[in-house]
Amino acid sequence: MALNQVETSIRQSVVVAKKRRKKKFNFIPYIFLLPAIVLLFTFEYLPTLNAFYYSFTEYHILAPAEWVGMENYKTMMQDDKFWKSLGNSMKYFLITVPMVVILPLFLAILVNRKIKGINFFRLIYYLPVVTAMVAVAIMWKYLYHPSGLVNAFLNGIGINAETNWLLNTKTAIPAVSILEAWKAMGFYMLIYLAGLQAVSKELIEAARIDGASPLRILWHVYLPQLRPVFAVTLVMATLGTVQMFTSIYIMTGGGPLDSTMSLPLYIYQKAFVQLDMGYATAMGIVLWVILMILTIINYKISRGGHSVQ
Amino acid sequence: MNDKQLYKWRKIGKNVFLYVLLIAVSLIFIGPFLWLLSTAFKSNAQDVFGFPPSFIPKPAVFDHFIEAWTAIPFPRYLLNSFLLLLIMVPSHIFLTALTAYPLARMNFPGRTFIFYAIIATMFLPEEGKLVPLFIIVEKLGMVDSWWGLIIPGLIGGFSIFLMRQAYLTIPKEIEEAAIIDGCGPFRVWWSVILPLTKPTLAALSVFSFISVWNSFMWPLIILKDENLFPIALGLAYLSGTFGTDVKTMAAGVVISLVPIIIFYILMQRHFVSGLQGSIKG
Repeated sequence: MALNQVETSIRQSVVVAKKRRKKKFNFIPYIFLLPAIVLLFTFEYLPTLNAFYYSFTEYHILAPAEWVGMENYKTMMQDDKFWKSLGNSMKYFLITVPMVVILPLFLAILVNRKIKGINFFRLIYYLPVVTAMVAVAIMWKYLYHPSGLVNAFLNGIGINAETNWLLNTKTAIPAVSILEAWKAMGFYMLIYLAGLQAVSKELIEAARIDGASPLRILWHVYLPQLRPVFAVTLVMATLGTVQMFTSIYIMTGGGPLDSTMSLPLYIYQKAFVQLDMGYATAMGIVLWVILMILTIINYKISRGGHSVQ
Repeated sequence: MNDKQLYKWRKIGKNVFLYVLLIAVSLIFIGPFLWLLSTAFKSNAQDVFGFPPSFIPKPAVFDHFIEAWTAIPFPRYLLNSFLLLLIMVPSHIFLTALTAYPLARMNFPGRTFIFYAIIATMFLPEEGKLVPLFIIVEKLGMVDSWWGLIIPGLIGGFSIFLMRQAYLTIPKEIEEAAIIDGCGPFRVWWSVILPLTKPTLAALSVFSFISVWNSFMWPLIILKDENLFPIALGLAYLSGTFGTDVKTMAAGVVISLVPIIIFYILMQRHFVSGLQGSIKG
């Protein structure tokens, strides 16, 4: 009996000691992580979960959310403004993405050389990236003035231009897209520059000795090796352009006649101007699904290219 | 002229062409800023628009800067942005460094799961989340206050990821030596490991600085009180009311750009290293 008690008490103390050791070993990492876990749950996961719920409700912030089933999604199907902004977002995508995926490569090639003052030029090309979109959008609004710098430049090179770029339903989308591309190009240039500097020097030298022209070296040596970089820029450019908001908000406010309204801007107006939060959330989820699909397509394309290589 | 000279002249010609091209391209990127600057200095008598465009203010006057500084609450907006920087950048960096540390350098149950749960936040839908996030912030009573800007911005998956990468490059022995010397885990982190990640801390601070100074959409959504506006929101608000007064507005935009451009020139090294680190990661 006594022996048994001793045995159990020893066992217990071993368990306690083990527990204590384990506890001492363990709880410190969780202390480090606790603030982040609380914050990420509250401001990342909780809103995401709530989004799915709110998208099935009618919710105007003052009154409690009211379950309406698929109503928001049905409304969306018949909402002309929704389709118009979705179409516009596609236009922004189609105009901006080629510009920011292709032109910065040439910028990168231009600045990828060791000559005096090259850092200064890189600094200048990257400058628009660090400035606030609000500031440069206000600036470009003046540039697009009917007698502003853009038209003055066009007149200077012999094109007679009196267009009011931002008030013409045909030119407003390209005008905003050009600003977006202008602002982002330096960023993509730096990405390409990192990619170019990783291309093997021996390969270029070998091609040069074999008598390949610079154009052929670009096409046959640089481009195949830059494929993964293209994948990165394509995904980033896609995400960036489909989410365009600030530039449009400042330059046109979505007008004229909703011709420049993007989906994020429409969501903003629905949610925070008309306080129709349930419907806005439903549109947000649709926008997210579209982004996911575009990302997966981009990923597939770049992966496909990879396996061929 | 012999071959050597010909080669030399060809090289000079090529370089001249290169510089002309580099400068021409520079004008595309810096031209609009120069136009803005010259506009802000033009006197009321000089036309802003018109053909041919004039880049030189004749005479150059400082009136519009004074007007932008006094007639509209510009100093207030600037002060707000500086205060937000002082609060948000250090707190973001501190929490990021704290969170990434055990993920890189400690073994504990659930580590992989927590790491992926943090990384996954980068792929959560910004658009879908926006409205419910506002509702949460509203229920916490943080709408129309700086708390609503500061608290949700304390942490981010991307920064944690970058910071973890930085910790992973540090050899294990350094930590072990510190532990043998009797340092507690927080001391090890704060005085031994953290100082070794300075380049990444600098890059993160640069990103954080830029994003705080330039942030627009979220402040637009949660702030109503004009006295709380950071600079970008203030500018947007002014362009609605003062937009037709091009010269004053231009002066205002110039004022808003000066701090970020100075910061950019001072910290340029960290932009490139931080960006390249993020791409490699």
